[in-house]
Order: sequence, then C-alpha cells, then structure tokens
Amino acid sequence: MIAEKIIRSFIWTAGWLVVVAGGGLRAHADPVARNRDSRSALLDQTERSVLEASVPEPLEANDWRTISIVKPGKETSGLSTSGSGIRFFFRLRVDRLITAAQLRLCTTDKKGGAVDIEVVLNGCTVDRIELIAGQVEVLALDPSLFSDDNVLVLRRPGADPCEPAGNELLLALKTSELELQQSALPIANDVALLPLPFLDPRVEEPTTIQVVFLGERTLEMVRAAGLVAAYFGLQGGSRLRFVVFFDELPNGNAVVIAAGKSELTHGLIEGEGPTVRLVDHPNGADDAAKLLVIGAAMPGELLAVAQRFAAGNITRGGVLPGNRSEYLPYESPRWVKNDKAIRLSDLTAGNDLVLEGTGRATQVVSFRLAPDLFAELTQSIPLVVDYRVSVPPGAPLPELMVELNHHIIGRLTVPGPEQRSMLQRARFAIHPSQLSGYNELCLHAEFSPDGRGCELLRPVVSRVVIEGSTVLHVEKLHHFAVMPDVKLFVYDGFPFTRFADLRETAVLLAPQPRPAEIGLLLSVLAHVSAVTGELPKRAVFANSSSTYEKAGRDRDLLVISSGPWHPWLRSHADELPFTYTPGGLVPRRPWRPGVLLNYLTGFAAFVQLPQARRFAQTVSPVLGVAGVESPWATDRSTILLLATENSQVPALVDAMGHAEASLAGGDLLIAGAARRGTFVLGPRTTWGALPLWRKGRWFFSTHWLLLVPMLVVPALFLVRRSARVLELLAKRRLQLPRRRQS
Amino acid sequence: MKKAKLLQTPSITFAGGIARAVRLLAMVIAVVTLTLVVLTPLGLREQVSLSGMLFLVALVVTRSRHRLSTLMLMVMAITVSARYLAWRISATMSVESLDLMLSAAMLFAELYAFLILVLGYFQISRPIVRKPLALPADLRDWPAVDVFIPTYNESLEVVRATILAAQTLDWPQDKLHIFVLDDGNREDFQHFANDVGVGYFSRRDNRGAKAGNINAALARTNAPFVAVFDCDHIPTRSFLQLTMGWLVEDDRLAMVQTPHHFYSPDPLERNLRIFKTCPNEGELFYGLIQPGNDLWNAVFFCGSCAVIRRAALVDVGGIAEETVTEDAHTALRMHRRGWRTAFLGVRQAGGLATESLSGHIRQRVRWARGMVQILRVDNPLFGPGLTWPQRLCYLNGLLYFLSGLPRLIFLTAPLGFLLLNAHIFAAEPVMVLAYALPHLTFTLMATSRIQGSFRRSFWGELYETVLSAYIVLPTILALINPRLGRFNVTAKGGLITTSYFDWRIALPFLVLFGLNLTGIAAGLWAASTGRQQLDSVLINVGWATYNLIILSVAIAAAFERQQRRRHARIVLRLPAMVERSYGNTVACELSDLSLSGASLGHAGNEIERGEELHLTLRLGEESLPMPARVVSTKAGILRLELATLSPERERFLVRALFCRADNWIRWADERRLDQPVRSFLDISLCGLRGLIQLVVNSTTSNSTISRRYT
Repeated sequence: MIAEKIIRSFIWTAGWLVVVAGGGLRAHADPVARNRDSRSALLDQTERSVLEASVPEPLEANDWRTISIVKPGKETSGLSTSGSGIRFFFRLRVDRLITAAQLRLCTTDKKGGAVDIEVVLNGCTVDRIELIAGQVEVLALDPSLFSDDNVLVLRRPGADPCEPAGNELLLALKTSELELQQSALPIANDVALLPLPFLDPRVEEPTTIQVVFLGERTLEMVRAAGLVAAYFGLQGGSRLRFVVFFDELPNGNAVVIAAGKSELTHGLIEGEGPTVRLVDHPNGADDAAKLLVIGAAMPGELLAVAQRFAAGNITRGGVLPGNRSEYLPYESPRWVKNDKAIRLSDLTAGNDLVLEGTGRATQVVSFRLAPDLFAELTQSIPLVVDYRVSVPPGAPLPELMVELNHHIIGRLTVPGPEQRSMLQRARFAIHPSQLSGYNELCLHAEFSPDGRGCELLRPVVSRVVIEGSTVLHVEKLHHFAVMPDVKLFVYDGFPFTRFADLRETAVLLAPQPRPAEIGLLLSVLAHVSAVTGELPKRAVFANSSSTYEKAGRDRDLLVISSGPWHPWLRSHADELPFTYTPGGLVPRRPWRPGVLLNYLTGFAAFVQLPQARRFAQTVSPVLGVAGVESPWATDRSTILLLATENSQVPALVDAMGHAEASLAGGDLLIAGAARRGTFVLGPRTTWGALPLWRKGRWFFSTHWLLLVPMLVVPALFLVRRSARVLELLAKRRLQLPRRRQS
Repeated sequence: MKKAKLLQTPSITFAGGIARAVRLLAMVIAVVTLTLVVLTPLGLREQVSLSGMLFLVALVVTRSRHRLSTLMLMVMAITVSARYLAWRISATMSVESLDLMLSAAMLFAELYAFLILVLGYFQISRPIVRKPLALPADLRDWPAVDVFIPTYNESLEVVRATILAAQTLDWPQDKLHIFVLDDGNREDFQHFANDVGVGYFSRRDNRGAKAGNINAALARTNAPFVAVFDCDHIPTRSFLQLTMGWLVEDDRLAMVQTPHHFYSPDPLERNLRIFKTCPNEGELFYGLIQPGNDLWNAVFFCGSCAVIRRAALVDVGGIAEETVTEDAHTALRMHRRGWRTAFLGVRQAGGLATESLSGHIRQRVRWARGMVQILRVDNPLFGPGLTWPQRLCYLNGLLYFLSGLPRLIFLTAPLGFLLLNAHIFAAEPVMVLAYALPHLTFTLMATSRIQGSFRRSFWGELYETVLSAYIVLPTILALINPRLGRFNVTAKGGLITTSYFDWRIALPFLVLFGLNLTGIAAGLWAASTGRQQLDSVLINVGWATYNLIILSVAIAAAFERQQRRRHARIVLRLPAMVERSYGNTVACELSDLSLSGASLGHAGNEIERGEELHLTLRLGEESLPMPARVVSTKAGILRLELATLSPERERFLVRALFCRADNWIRWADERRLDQPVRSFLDISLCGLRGLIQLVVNSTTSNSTISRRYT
C-alpha cells in the first residue's frame, strides 16, 4: 500500500516535471486591437472606478457579439410589447466599449407588403426603415448611443400610442438581432475591482475564466483553485466555465494559482508571504489583459491564502460568502428555509412590491428552495397574495397577473371602488411541478388593458402594492427525491449542496488530474457556490484509489474523469450506466437487481437504452454526467462528470443551470455540442424520508405498471369471494321454509 | 372412533379458523391494495397508459357473459371512478371564490352520482330469480284472501275491468273476498259492486288518502292475506296461485310483490315512439332492482300488485299514513319489525300508464316527495331492526329521488366556463380528459352490461333530466319540512284527443337548451378570438353538446301525441270466429283486442264495412259471442268495434284480454340487448326529431299549441 502510494506520488511529481521541463512557461502572443480614443475618454471618467481599467479577455477587433431580440419559438428575456412597439432592455458590461453596432431585422411574409419601423435606442430615434417581407434589413447604429443599461424600441411610426400594435409587430418580425462589436476597457490593477475584468455580475452571459496552475501541482493547489472558482461563482451566477492550463499563460485574463518560488512564478509571487494581486499580463501584447495571482511562496500556505481571499478576509471586490462555521442541512445562505411558510417580506428585505404606472409593470422576486422538496402530483402548494389596489377616478381598471417560473398561476381581482382601500387576499394553488430549486415569482400589472390609459390628458397613475404578508406555504413539504438524479445536480448541485459548505462531499480525482478534469471541477464548484452562496470549504478531496473509500464514506461522491483511466471508474465499471470505448462514451444498462424496478415505471423504460445509444450517436463529441449509488453508503450518490478534453468543458458546463431548457430526471445525461438528453438506465434509490403512506403512493405512482395487476388481481379475488357469498345468500333466500322441507 | 373424532374436532375447528382468518386477511389486503390503486396519483402519460391497459382488460372481461365477469366489471368501474374522484378532490379544486363555488357544486353532483352508482351495484349484485312456489295440494289449506281495489276519482270505466278480473282469480270462491274501496263515495261504483257481487267500502272523509282507505278496509275485513291492486291494475287469473305459495309456506314472509306492468305506452314511450322497442322507465326497477333487493330481503311494497300478510300489517299499525309513498314506508316498517318480503318477477297484472308527460311528472314528484319524507321521518340508516344491506338498499331507493339537483348541475356545469369564465376543474384540460373519460367509459360499460336488458345506455340521463327541474323544489321542501304536501292521485284512463306541444312542461328544458346553446356559441367565439384556450373550450362545448342532445329528447317528449283509441289494444294471437248475421261463420285469428274493439286476420274478403256480426272468443272450453260492428276491412285485416256488453260478456272479454296466466310473460321478448353506441345514436335521433318538431310546431298555427286532454 505504502509502495503504491510512493509510486503514485512519484508518477504525479514526474508528470508535473515533464510538463514543466518540456513546455516551460509559455505566453501566447496575440495582439489585440484596442480603441485607444475610447479608452482615453473613459479614463477621464474618474468617478467610475470600474471604467479606469483594461480589457479582460482577448477581444478581436472584428469579433461581433450577437444579441437575439426576436427568435422564432424562443422567449427572449428583456423583451416586452407596449403600445405600438416592442421594447427590448439589455445590459452591456461596464468594462466593454461598443465600437460598432448594427441591427438586423427580417419580417415574415405572412401578410405581405412592407412594414415601416422606427428604431429608437435609449430615447434617440436612430432611423426609420421599411421592411420588405422576407428581406433582411441591416441598420447601422451609432456606438455612442450605447450605455451600460439600454433600451431599444421598435415601433410603427405615426401609430396611435393607444393602439396595441406591439404584439402585431412582434408577430410580423421573423428575426431581430443586435450585433455589437466591442473592445475591452483597461482597468486598474486593483483587486477591489474584482470580479472585473473576469465578469460583470450585472450581465447574464456565459463567461469563460482561464485558470493557470504554476508550480508543484498538489491537491492543496486544486482545493485552492476550487475556492477561487467558488468566489467567482458567488459573484457571477451559474454560467461560468473554467479552462485550466498547466504552467502556461494563455492570452487574455487569467487566474494564476501559484505555489512555491520558481522560474515559473518569478515576478508573480511577491516576497515570502502570500500573494493576492491583480497584475498586467506579462506578454505585453495585450495591455488590457490581467492576471489575478493567488500565490504563496511556501506551497503549504497556498490553501490558506485562497481561503482568505475567497472568504473576503483579504480585501477584494464582490459579494461575500455566508462564512458560517457550521451549517445544518438545507441551510444555505441563498436558500429560503422551508420549515415555515415563506413570506414575501423574507425575500424582499421587508419591503412590499409596488407596481404603478399607466402601461405595463412587472415585479420579479427570485428565490431558491431546497431542490428535493417533494410534493405529490395531486398536492398543491398554496400561495396567498395580499394586495391593495389604488385606481384614481377615471383610470381604467388594471389587469393583474401572478406568474411563477413562467407558469401563469392566476389573476388578482380588482375590487370595487368601495373596497379598494381594504386589503385584498387571493389564494392560488401551485402545482408541484411549477416549483423548482430556483424560482421566479412575477407579478404583472397591465394598467391600461384596453389602451384607455393613453387617452387621459393628465398622467393618472394606478398603483398596486403586493404586501409583504403574501405567503407561500411550503412548510409541509418533505425532503425526498429519487437519487441519483443528474437533473438535480446540473440545476442545483444536489446532493452536494445539501450542506452549503459541501461538508458531505468527497471529490475523487484521478491520480494525475488533467486540465480538463480540473476545469470541470472548478466549473462545478463555481456553480455550486452560486447555488448555495457559500464556499465549498469543507469538501474532501482525494486522488488515489487507496484514499477514495476513506474520503467517500458517508459522503456523496463527485468523480471527475476525462477517460477510462480513473481508478474509481475502473473498479466500479459494472455499476456504471456507460462504458468507455475508443469512440467515446457508450450508454449501457448496469444489470443490477434494482434495474428491474425501472421497467415498472412505464413503457419508456424499455426503450431507454436504445434511445440513449441513438442519442449518443447523434451528438458529437459525447460528454456525460452520470449518477450511481455510492458503493459505500446506500443512500448516497455518486455523480460522475465525464469529459475528454478542455474544449469539451463548455458544452458540459452549459448543461448546468436553470436558464437551459428543462431536463427530465435520470441517471445519465448525455451532452453534445448543442443537444442534451437524460436517460434512466441504472438502479435508483431514494433520498430523504416520507411518511409511509406517502411513500407508498409515491412508489406506486412512479412504478405505475404495478397498478394493473394491483387492480386486476385483488378485484378477481374479491369478485370470486363475493360471488361465492352472494350465491350462498341467494340460495338461502330461496330455501324453502323449514316447515315445508320437513 | 368417538374418541378419535373428539380429538380431531378441535384441530378441524382450528384449521377452519385459520382458513377463515387467512381469507379475511386476504380480503383486507385486497381492499387495501385497491385503495392504493384508487389513491395513487399519476401524471398524464401514466394515467392514459393505465386507463388504456385497464380498458383492454375490461374488453376481455366483457367477452364472457358469466356472472363473475359482471361483478368484475363492477369492481373495475368502481375503482376507476373512485380514482377519478380521488384525483378530482385532491388535485382539481379551485381556490378562487366563484370557481370554488361551482367546483364544489360539481363535486357534490359527482359524489352523489358515485354514491348512487356504488349503492346501485351493491343492490343488484345478485338479483334473485324467484319462482312461484306450489300451494298445498289440499284446497282446505289455502288461506282466505281479501282483494282491495282502492279508488278515489278514477272513472268506473277504468275500474270495472279490474273488479271483473279480480272475480276471475283462480282461488276458492269462499276464500276470496273482493272489495272496492271507494274514497270518492260514488253511487255508480256502489251499484256496480252490488251488481257484480263484490264488497264496497266508502268513507266519510279521505284521511290518510290511499293508505287511510286501505287501513279503513283492514278494520272491516279479516282474511289473513290482503291483495292490493290499484284500480287500473288488472290481475291475471293466476295471480294468487303464483304469489300465495311463498306466503303460505313462510310465516314470517310479510309480502310478495309482483311487477307493475303497463300495457299502454307511457308518455315518453308514446311521444318518442319507443313503445315496446325500448325498455320503459319502470322496467329497470321491476326487472333488476327489486330482484336485487330480494337478495337482501329489502323488497319494497309498490302500492299495488302485491299480497300482504294481515298479521304483518297489523304489526306495523297498518299502511303508513305519514308519507305520500305509503307503500315503501310500510315495507320499511315491516322490515324494521323483522318481517321478510319477496319479489316474484312474473308479470301478473297489467295496468295503464299515465297518459301525459305532465301526469307522469306529477306522479314522480309525488314519489320523490314521499321518499324524501321517509328519509326525514324514518331514516333507514338509523333506527332499529334493519340489517345493513337493507339500510343501504333503502338508502339508494330514497337518495335516487334527490337526483334533481345533481342532474341540473350536470346540465349547467359547462356554462360556468363557457359563459362565466369560471374554472370548475383547476387542472389541465387534457388531465381532466385523462381521468374523466376512463371513469365515464368504465361506468358506461359496466352499467350497460348490468342493465342491458332493462334500460338502454343514456336513457337514464333522459329520465332524470325530464324530472330534474320538477323534483328539485319538492324534494328540498320535503327535506326541510316533511309534513308539507298532500297525496295526489295519478290520473289514469284519460285520452289525448289532439296532438299538442306542452310548452308549460317543456319550459325548463327549453331554457336549459337555450343556455347550453348560448354557452356553445360563446365558447366557440372565445376560442376563435383567442380569449379562451381551445382545448378547454372544446371539452366544455362537447359536454354542452351532450346536454343539448339529452335536452332535445326531453323537449321531444313534451310533444303529446294524439291517442286514437279510448282503450289500449293488446296484441293477442288467439283463434276466434266471426259469426255473420245470416249464420255464416268464419274462422280467423285475433291480432289484437281491447275492451272496445278487435282486429282479425284471415277473415275473408266478403265482409263489408258497417256489417253487424258476432265475434266469438274461445277460452279453453268456454266460448262466448260478442256483438260487434265492422269499422274497417283494409289489407285483409278486419277491424271491429264491440257493442255494449252485458256484465257476463264483459267479464269474459276481460278474462280473454287480461286474465290469462301467460298474458304478459312474453311482453317485448324480441328486444335487443343494449349497445351503448347504438343507444347513443338512437337517443340523438330522438333529439333531432324533437328539434325538427319544435321548429315545425313553432311555425304552425296556435291551434295546435292549445292543450287537449280529457
């Protein structure tokens, strides 16, 4: 055992040495075009410190970013129709400068003829164009009109503002895209500006962060990187991708995790103490590119530095983690507890929600719940909305609608004039399927449903106040889920997120983890931190088969592998719902007793394997997230992240997060470049506890094929027994009286 | 040997006990398992798949005509319906005020229907086919019987045939005492009774209505058995011989009830032209429910065509006078006192159905009011003496008459969505279909299988619809105050001389029809303009369309058709002879016969219209010529009008016409079994005809609208 450890350590160290000696520290020189005028102009704006700096990523001068406004069959966030036009709200990163922009419009040819459209950007009328059906029109936009928060309005010129033509226009537009050419603005070398230049928390967009490991690679270094990744996860939401480099500096912004003093870390680690600094990229070709250096001259100190940085003990920008020493299950800082009813005031820091205006208004409240909250199909979750409506004389009655996670829950009735001063109460029943780990409760008000509001000569503002006493009753829901479930993992990081600090998580890495594997791990940790609001500071890491069991006992396992060489995969190959072939991942059914139960879940179970194989053949390259029961505890899960190279990481990371299309539960997620699918191939178990009766109902509702014999067999038995009894009764009724018989 | 037996006995008993315990345990497990099936919620795909698989099982089960397969269908139907209700309660109840109110009303109607369904299945789980029991060989052992023929305001013309037929009953004449109980206190009745030699009782007042009338007669008579016939129910000669056997042999048997058979069409049969081709409303009760009740010793007394033991009547204080359904109430009291009742499903009397729809409804309203009165004053669920099966059978009988409100809810439920935009089901429309359609399909399959010979599918809805608007108020009032209301006599023996549309009686159906039509139009308009979801609209429009079909048949039933004959003709295949005035005699075959006329086939061509002749009927060895006049000779059919007959001839005619033992046994034997799809088409066609008639009638002169009823 000891010999094996020594050999493994030797291999690990030798591997690193080969990489370092062979490649050294390479800096990719790739000059970036910059808009120096813009940069100078922005540098003058000293009141906005975030704009005093430089470009984070290598942006090509001719790189165009496309923002889709209207796309057939897709809902675009920020898009709304109002009056005679379409209103599109979008944000741009504060450290980006628009150098060129154009609007691409195309109308459907359903009605034929031309459509006149007036384009207004941030209040300035840009142009008026005539769209010919089926033809694409491109309109150049003045870059100086763009700001951080932007509103683009497309409207019919001269149309009656009271005429609700917005929907018509939306239908007329086949596609509409905004194409922007951006350049990065340099920022100062100040960690207080973090998470810039890596990401802007205001802007929801997929972001890639490069991480460079310099120095001797150990588990401590991986843990340190994990904490830094978690920091970014806390700042930037879920859609972060991490790409890892060993001992080479890529172009653009990068996080450098450096340990020990060597030629590699020279100039990056200051003195003998820990280093946390933002520095210019040394390649000199890109003066906007920055390196965030987290380093320690003494390798043993690296983890402590990363912890202090991520926890906010070292001054840096961005939000702080929860930073509690002990967490109870489901007690994440970003999760709303379900041990009592959730009041709106709990989600809005005690404030009421106010909607007012003459047109449309929407208020959105987002919140996270434990993702394993169980409600039966027939169980409804009560939502009681307390509200007040104030409608000035002469103003039209507003239409009020409640929406949860894009499901319309119901309408709020507007009381009669004499009752308007009183608190109104509306009760809604939410179907369990409408609730998830991440939730958005939207309250929409249409203050001028018939357009009459436009006719009023003076502004008359109606007002709706949703009181903080509005309550969602989740307190009676149990924690219960079928595990392993890759859907719960990719959306909510479950089961690892059950403890905010990942106390019951063991990360099992290969002895010599590859960059792709570490990149995946960092992406997962960032995702998990975005979900919980806490750092994964209690997660246990192991990278040798001898320590796997010790680390993994009584914990949920996270196994990250980019090939069949991972020892854990080799030793549990029979239990996995996939197998590695030279062509990649191939789904398979692990024949274990529990699999038979799958066939009771419906006819789909019989075709899951061929479907999964067909799906795997159609997507390329094949990546996967698989779930199996932990070999060391019956109620624990093992989640396996399977990739083969760095380039595949984005596709796998894209499978995570609520922004993506809805996934079904399963134990195998197959992801390709553009498609994902989940399948149930292996045995499943359950997590959590339900009262026996509920658990029975749950079991039979999920294994519903059992219901057929459960109905037919007892019915036959009862019928036979009843028939016998009835025959006896009938015979007795027709028996001659005793006198006659004698 | 004895010792060995003694040793074995405890072990056998123990083994038997174990076996019983195992069986009981198995039954408990079976019930729990079915309960699990009922209470297990499923998603759309799973529910549809499960329903499909169960449907296939049901199709296999229906291939067998065995009693077991009928029971299996019942259990499956109950389970699937219970699944629907469990889902309905747990997943579809709205929480908003208007929605909640309508949803709760609908749920009430559905729960009511389910309760009636389950109680009904229990009631008819094993109908008894009771055969007549032979009487003692020695006539001296045959008991005396008093035959009561109560009457109040019916014409003598209606009653005289019953009296004459009663005189022909095959029973020792010294032990047969016939009494006309005339609450109308009419001289002509008294004279007729004296002339034909039957007893006549009348009263100074009419206290207790029919029940009081019978009770008064009971006080003045003393035979150990009492046969009761409504004044239009003409018994066959074998009535007492077939019914008395069980009463003679079983001292605790209080009553034997026989079916009420109507040889004239009821208003629905006549107005919808379904006489003899489609079972009438009463056939389900006498063909299935009463035989079902017999198993549980819960046969109701139906007021006529029954023989009752005097001792039992005395024991319960005579016929019950507290309610207007004295018959059922009296049976209930007898059951409470431990008496047994039996049902003999052989038609042994023929009566006249009500002539008009309004009369029909009035009669049913009285029944409904009376049954609800019983529910209030002598609730079978409570009180001593009844077994649980008896309680449940009575409960079903009583609750059935509360169907008015649920039926009105079903007829108006889709309007909640179509007109008021209220959501009765807080669920996805496809889910509603996924749960409701199996429930309806299985119920239809099971009910068609069970009732196929006695009621066609969908006709039950029609019967309830016709009554619904009229029984709601009386039943609610009776629930509130059971003392309200008086006994009303059902008019019999009338004649509708001119066809007419009874607007007054059809008014509720027309209003409901209009509302459903408006709802459909509003729904389709809302769907076309995108104001409502198409799937929700389609479901509700489908429902409203079904309502329209049922309501259109109810409207069609309000077209009262002209009755051409004063006396109903009865199809008879009997040899007869026509004796012409100059002595020539022609042998022929009787096609049909009534108290005032006859049709004959093979009578030769030389007989002319208007000729006076004698029709000679043969009954066994007896024959008697009756004077008649030829009214038609078309197509080889000789139609005769009988002259006024002497009492002797009239009695002979009555015997020939009504009193043969096999008179009603083969009635409508050729009818096909129920086929739900065909039945739906039939009822739809009836409705279509009704609508066409309505349009035609609306465009004709007012003279046809006036009411002609005598």
